[in-house]
Amino acid sequence: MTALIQLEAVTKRYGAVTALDVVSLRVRQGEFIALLGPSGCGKTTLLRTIAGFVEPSAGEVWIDGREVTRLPPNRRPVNTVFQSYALFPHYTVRDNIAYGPRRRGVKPAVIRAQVGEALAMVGMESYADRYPAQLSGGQQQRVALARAIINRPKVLLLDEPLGALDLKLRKRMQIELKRLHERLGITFLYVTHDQEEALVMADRIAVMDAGRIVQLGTGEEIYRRPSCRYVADFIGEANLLPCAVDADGALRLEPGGVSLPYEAREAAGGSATLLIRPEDIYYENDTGETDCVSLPAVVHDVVFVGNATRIYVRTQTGSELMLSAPRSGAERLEPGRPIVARWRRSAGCVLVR
Amino acid sequence: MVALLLPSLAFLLAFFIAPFVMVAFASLQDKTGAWSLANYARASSDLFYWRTLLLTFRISLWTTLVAFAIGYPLAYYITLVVKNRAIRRLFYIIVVTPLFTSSVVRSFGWMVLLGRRGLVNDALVASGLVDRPLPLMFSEAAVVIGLSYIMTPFMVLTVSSVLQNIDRSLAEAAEDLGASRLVTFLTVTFPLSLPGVIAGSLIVFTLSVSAYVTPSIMSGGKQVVMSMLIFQQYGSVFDFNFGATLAVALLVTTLILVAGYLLAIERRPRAGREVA
Repeated sequence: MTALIQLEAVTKRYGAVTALDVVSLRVRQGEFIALLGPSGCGKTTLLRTIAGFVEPSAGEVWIDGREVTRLPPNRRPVNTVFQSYALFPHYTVRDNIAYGPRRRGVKPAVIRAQVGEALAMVGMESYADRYPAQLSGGQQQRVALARAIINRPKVLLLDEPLGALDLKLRKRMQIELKRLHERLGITFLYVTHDQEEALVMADRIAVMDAGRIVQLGTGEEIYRRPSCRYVADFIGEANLLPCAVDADGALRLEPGGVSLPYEAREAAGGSATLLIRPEDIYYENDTGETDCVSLPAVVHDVVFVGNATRIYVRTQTGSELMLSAPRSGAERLEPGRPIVARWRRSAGCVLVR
Repeated sequence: MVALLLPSLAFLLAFFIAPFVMVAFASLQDKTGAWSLANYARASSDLFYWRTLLLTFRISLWTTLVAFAIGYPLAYYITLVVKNRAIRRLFYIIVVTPLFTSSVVRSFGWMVLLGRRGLVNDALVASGLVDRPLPLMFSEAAVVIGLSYIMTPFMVLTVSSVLQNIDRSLAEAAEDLGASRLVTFLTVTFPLSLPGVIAGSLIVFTLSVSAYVTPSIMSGGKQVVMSMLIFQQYGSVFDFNFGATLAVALLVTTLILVAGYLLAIERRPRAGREVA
């Protein structure tokens, strides 16, 4: 199957600044892709390139088998939900939503039905005659969504649409967006800097850094098998242990030189990083598991974070580790107490970049 | 709070309300100082004054239209097309600088251009387009040209201050939803800039109605507007009462026109609203 969106070596330069650095991406029909990265990583520029607001300095943009690189936004089969919603303040909710169909010359009777349908889809039926200024942020968000999906675009582009909402509403909208995506079958491309949001909603996540996509994969892949330190650090909490690599590829923890049962042949003689997620580390004396890595350590901080407890420990050789334990049971740990930090060998992931 | 307002209230009273009340009183008195409506009867019964009033408003209306036609595109260009901030500032300076020059000087400048031996006529005659110099000066059109030139900066400044505050993502949203550049302008940018256009046209219209120097110079006295008549009454006829009557009449009719204009805008269905 061919890709619905196909970016071929797209580059965008602003003077000396490279916003997009040879980005290639293929998105399948119906996928929910999150573009994830910190501000300034190029994710919004990438979105705007697909929307048609940014013309790439080099490379090609294909949508639905057609090259659209130089096509203006109004002639692309995509619609955008803007970060600021960008609702027309001088139009009612109804006229805002009808804006797209009107431009395509749809018959008034049909428009009326479509607007009703779109309003129902976002649960805003009773607000049709209000003006945007009379709506709350969450309601404006829904109208912006309805205004975009009424056009049945091939791709819906969302630029941090939940950024301005409070945490509770954001979580609810995440679920609603995911349901909407399933119901419509439209391809979603979603820009966010919130890794949790990306993990909750996206089928695949493209992690971006300095104008490049550094890893593209499912949330699980990116969380479990990050391609590099940057991704490991950006997604979730991470213990990143610096290691030296022997000539035969075996890893030694730095500092201290404790031998670890991992190897990185491609970095032989150099250095690598071992990733262990905090929740994969146990501190019970013996879990009965075999094939474990264990490091004696001393607790130096215990922090309660609501649904879990974070335990900061220092190993005998001076490495810092963070453990995440379910709330119950962690109360017994107080600073100064010696423990053995252990994790299943398979829970660790060697990163050479 | 009230104490803080006192100086400005006193200023308003001393320099705006008191003089106006005095003028209004004077307009209701005859030369002996007795109360009388004779001045108003005289002004309203003479067709000459009605024609002058009409000419004044016609010139002001044309001036407003020309200032809009030139000022709006200019404001649009400066705020939305020019990307470089330094160049944008330069444009603002170019627009504002003429305001520092006396309108006497600027109006005489037009004589150099439009006069019988002016640059425009010289060029026309030299190129053979016309046999004899055209009577460009001292006409109604000349007054409109002179006033438009002076008033356009006011339109540019009010319109651009509104244009630059319109969220850029609104135009992007319109384009994203399938509107061409032109349709985007007509359905989004222009309707949202209307407050600037309304403010600008009010300023230009009222300033044009009360303009004295430019109409006097540009018309060479051949086109008489209300301000010239009023000045005549005060400055050469020394009939302060009748001058006051003309001034009040001009003020009241202008206020009625402005109120009607604003009412018409309010009554209209909301700007740019489409019917489903």
